[in-house]
Amino acid sequence: MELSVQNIEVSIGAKHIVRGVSLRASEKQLVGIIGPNGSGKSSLLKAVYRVLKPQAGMVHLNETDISTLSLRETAQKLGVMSQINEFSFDFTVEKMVRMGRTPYKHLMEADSTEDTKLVEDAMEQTGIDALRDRNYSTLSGGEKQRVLIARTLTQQTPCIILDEPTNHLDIKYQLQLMNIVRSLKRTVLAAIHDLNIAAMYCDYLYALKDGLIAGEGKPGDLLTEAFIRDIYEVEAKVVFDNCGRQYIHYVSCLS
Amino acid sequence: MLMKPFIKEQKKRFSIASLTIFLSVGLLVSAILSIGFGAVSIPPGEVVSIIWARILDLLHIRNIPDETWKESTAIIILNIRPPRVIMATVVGAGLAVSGTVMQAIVRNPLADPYILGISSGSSVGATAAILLGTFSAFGNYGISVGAFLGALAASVFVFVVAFSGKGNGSTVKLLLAGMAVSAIGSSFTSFMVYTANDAEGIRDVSFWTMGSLTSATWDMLPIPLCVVVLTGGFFLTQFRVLDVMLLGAEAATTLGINILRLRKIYMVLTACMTGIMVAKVGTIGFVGLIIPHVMRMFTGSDHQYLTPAAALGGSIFLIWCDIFARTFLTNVELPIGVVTGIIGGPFFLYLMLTKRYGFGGE
Repeated sequence: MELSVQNIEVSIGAKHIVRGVSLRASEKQLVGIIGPNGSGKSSLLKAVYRVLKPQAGMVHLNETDISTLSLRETAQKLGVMSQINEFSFDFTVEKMVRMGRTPYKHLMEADSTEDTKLVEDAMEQTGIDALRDRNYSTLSGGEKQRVLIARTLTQQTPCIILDEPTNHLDIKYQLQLMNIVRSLKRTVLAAIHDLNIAAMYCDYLYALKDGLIAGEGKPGDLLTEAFIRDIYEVEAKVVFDNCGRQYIHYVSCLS
Repeated sequence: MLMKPFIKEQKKRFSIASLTIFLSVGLLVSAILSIGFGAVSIPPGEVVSIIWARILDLLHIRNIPDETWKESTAIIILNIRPPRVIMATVVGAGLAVSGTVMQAIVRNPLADPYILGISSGSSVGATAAILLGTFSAFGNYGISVGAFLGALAASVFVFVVAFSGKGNGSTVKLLLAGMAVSAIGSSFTSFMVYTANDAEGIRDVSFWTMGSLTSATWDMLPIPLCVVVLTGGFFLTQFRVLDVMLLGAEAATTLGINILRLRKIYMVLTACMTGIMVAKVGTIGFVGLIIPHVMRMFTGSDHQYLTPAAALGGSIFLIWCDIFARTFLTNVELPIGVVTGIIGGPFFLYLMLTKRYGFGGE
């Protein structure tokens, strides 16, 4: 499924946070959005997954304008893993993951064995099998993150949005998570703050600064030393190893 | 490895099923015992046989001659006490379900059915009816009508404030608006009581605000019964939405739930249900706050199990509070709102001290 975003504008109050952004994630592509804090990554994604109402612009899934769909229909096509949310009542890990099936369920409909299988698979895939009976609130940040990913997987959507998915994770789980995401063969749009992770996993990158697209391209082409200086105000060394893998080393801060 | 989850699942279902059976049996036993308790004490066996005979009689299966029992006993068992016990069952279930739903809507463990200002709004209406004779056009129903209109006005007001302007329907705004309206309502009630010159009326007001099942009759039952059965039944079907509501607005939206719309619908329904109960029996506190927490200790936050457990638990709790209210002092009946606090408070504290349950905290 192709996700395309045209001229999205988001303002909160008088502040223009996203000022006309267009981008595209083709079928089964893993597309990353990079950019410094406050560049509008999260707001842009929120507008795409319908939590913020954009002032202008459109989002299409294939040929369908997403605003013509019900939230339920949207949730069957577009899964979202956003940043960890806290809440006052507790659920077990298994129950949290199970809630990913919500968009497919009617009133009073019980969970089927197929649902259970999807839940089991997702928990196994994200390595939270052993945590199933723990309460969500007792988990560490990284464990919570993995539970949320498992929930998104259980939602079985052709298109997935990830808002800083590796935020609270140890390096092992960062790599594991990105491996999972890449192995899914779905269309993925992800806000990523770690440039090395972005370079390693993304097929294509968009860089956001001050609510505008400041550059786009394949990671190897886009993430040059000059561009990183420009966007992040950081002096960096970019090197490639024998296999053509790209590494970014930060040298110093400019200001 | 593959079989483990399924076995686990069955075990959990079983314990939930046994809880439901336990509560249902508990409710039936409590109801029968409750009919037996009172100024004239009647053994449970006699209660069951008289009711059974009456059912057979109503169904035209068998007619048992009246002289088998004393007529006065039969009247107590068939006419006087059952409406009261049924009212306790209905109101207990209704308040507990309202509380459960409200706690999910505002994602706050302190929420109760009166959070929209219903208790103080209804007090204003009822007090005006008792002391000033407003709504006297409705005759005996004046107090009920006043209480219902007061509850309605308060909740509409809170609702409009909470959903207006910035922070559309945010739970904090809702809680604060509810508190403000409650404070205004209480002040109005106090003002009316303070300036009144009617000792008997003042006692009636204080009795009413503490809640009472005394006046329950067969005629009074149909409206609250239908409302609680229909609204409560509706909420039993909404377990998935209620679960997702606890995750917050953003997560709910991405799981396909239109939380803003559903929040409004749920709030209107709980307000109506609570308003009607309050109009009939006054404000009975504590049930709607503690029963959902008590049941969550056994079922967790999973509303598929929590909502029915809360309904049954609320009924049982209120039936026993009513028994206590009737029998604790000879010849004097305690207001049931006093009893729910006296019995419920220490019990709740006991659970807080002994059980591992976070009450929605970290």
